[in-house]
Amino acid sequence: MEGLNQIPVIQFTNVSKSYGPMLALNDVTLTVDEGEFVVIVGASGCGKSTMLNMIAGFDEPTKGRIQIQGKENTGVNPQCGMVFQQYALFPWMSVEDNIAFGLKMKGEGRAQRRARAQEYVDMVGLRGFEKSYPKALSGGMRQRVAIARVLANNPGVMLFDEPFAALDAMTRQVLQEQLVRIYEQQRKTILFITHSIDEALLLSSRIIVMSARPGRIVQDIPNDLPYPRNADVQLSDRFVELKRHIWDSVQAEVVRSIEIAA
Amino acid sequence: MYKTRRQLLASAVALTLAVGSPGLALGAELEKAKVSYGGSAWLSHYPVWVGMKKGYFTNRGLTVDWKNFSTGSARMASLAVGEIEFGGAGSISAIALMASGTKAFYVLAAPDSYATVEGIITSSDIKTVKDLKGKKIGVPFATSSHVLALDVLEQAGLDPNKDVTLINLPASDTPSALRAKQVDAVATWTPAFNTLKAQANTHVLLDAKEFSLYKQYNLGPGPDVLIANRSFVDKNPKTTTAFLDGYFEAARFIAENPKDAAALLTDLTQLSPEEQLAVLKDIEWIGRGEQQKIMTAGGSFTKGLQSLAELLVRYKQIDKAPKVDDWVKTGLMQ
Amino acid sequence: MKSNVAVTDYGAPERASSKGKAQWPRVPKLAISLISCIALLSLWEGVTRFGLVEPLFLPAPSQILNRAMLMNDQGILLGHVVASTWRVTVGFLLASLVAIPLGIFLGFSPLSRAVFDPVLSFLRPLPSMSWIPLSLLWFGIGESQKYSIVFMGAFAPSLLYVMEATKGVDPLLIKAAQNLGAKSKDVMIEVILPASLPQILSGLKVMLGIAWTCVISAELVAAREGLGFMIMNGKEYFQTDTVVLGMVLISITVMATDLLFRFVEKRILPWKA
Repeated sequence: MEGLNQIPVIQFTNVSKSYGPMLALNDVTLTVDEGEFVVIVGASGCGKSTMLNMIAGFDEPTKGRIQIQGKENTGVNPQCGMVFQQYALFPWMSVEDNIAFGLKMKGEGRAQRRARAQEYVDMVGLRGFEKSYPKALSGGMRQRVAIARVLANNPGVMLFDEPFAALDAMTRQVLQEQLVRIYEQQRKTILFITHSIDEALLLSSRIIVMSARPGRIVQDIPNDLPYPRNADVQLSDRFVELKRHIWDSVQAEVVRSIEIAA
Repeated sequence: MYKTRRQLLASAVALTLAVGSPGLALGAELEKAKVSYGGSAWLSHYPVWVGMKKGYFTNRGLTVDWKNFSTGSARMASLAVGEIEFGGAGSISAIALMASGTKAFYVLAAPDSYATVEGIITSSDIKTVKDLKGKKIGVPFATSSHVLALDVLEQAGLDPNKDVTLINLPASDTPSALRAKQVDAVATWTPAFNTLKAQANTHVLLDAKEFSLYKQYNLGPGPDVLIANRSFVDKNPKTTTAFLDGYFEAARFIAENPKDAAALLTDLTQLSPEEQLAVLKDIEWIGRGEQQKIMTAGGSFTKGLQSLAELLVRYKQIDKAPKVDDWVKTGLMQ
Repeated sequence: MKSNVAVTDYGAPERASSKGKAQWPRVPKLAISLISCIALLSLWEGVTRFGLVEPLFLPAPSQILNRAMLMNDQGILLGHVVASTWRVTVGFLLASLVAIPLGIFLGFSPLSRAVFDPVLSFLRPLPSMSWIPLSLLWFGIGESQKYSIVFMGAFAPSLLYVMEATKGVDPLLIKAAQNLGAKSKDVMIEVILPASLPQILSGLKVMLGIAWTCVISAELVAAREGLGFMIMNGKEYFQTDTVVLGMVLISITVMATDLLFRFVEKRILPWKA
């Protein structure tokens, strides 16, 4: 391993989480290094979102320890910027003000905020919509604003909680490619949750497969598909091979979860 | 079985009624054996209260049902719609109701006169009415004290709208407002008037004897009137007469036996017997003998009431003066 | 861009634009309202004019209009409207200025809510009328006493409205703001306030109506002008036309302030349009 002497960006040590009597996450140990694009796949209710919430500091583990850049959270940690499935844009703010919100919280001046916001408006391709309110935007555009808002805040880690699940297939694909490009440029550490194995393979540098509830890590697969990537990568043999491999283990878990439910 | 029992019950009730109320024989002559009277703790209602306690109505075969109204206007409105048959009111309220155009009531009598339990009380530095210039005066609007204030200000050559500030205060709030120096003077009546009179640092500027109509007709600013629903009186003259007879018998009792009357009144007024007696001393009861004289078309009361109506028009309290004769009903007291 | 890739559809489409019910065309609706208004007024005029109803109980519209013109000639009509409107405005603005920040703070902090809850529960059921004796002792008989009555009547319900509105704020937005580095103070000012503002404003619109009922009771005592005074004085003199005129003026003034409110609402909430 290349970074033995380096502190991992995210470190889960024997983490369990229960809600009352319900065990959501069971004894998860995981290390994520700087610049990794980790996609977590798994059936519904496998504790994927719980993991992100604990990393961001919205929630605490019941057992075990989570360290972000070597430190445990003491509250919400703005170093871990989250992109939510429901966008969570502030409806009373223009696109520009939404994107500059984190900068405002850091106390940056108006002119500087505006310049930085413009940079990220351009990066996600929303030039001309700076003054629009979220209500006037399509779902895909809204999610791009949400991504720009997190990027503008320059966090150490970006967390994506099924960000494209509510979008139509075409829009989703555009956004996936855009996210890959942004990752290739910025090399942020990313944790990304999805149901879609295709999405996982297209985006990730590493894929983690979670079991049905209580969630455990059942597979940890490096994704060696070459960068730069675009949708074409989905036609390669290696893609199909990886997909089959992941599908088998996910399917086993899905079946298991259906049996538990029944 | 069931039927028999009911019949039995009915005859038992009839028997009890016949034996139990000696006035039943008399009551049979009255058109109605039960009337409602709208009153309050104010002194003009005393005769009805005492009459009820002394049985002056029941021994004429009449049951009087006492209904309490805290404001004169509510009492008069109820009387105009016929919810109550008799009531007492201030003459200003009566004139205002006449001015509204409704003919639904009669003025039957003017039972009492008082001029020394109403007036203007000031902080001790104000010695004359002219000193009131630029001052604040607390006054219960649309009452006799209001009219008194307007009248004496005019007599002194002061404009009530420009030279002073009149502020609407309920009579019961006038003592505290004067004490707290929120106003420089108040126009009010008893018991607030008597309370303030007894206090240090206050000055009785004048009482109702200064009222212009008092000087002319011996009429205070707000003489009380006994009123009745017009159509009830027209249809039930005997009942009305019985009520008036009981009323004036009670008024005479109060005048002749103030101590006994005071004892009967304390549960209405919540005053102590001594206080009650003091209030009774200030009232002059106008007996039924004089009523006929003052209530006729040329009588002093009717003329005074007409002048009061015109005064109210002059002070822009009502639009036009009603011809009060049209509401006065005499001849029911044989 | 190629799209020959099998991508699972997630089946959650963009929010379907719901089609509203078929709406009446604008002009006929207005015309119908106008006709019903005229019909009602003529019926009213008719029954009073032909003596079916005594003027003491219900004066004719024309009589009310006459009264309005008479009072206008006397130069007192506008004074009554202005006096009451001013009292409502001052009392209501003071109540809002205290209730909005305090309500947001209480809505956000369960601890302070627990502290304030007994006081609030005590204040809430008190009608503004019940404050009149105390307000006379505390504030005298001047204008501040009238403001205080409006304030006391509007404050507690406004505070509850604001607290409810803040509790209705989407927790996801608060999460997102905290995630972007917002501290508690920032969350209150930057998120809870603007997010709950539409509900707060519609609550305040209701409160404005309550403020008017308060001013009417405030003007029963120690007032010499104002619509409440006008109605009470009219009642004492059995001038039912003055009473009804006062009611009509209150209604018109409230409608006018409501329009103004809507205008302001549009200006502060451009993102709602």
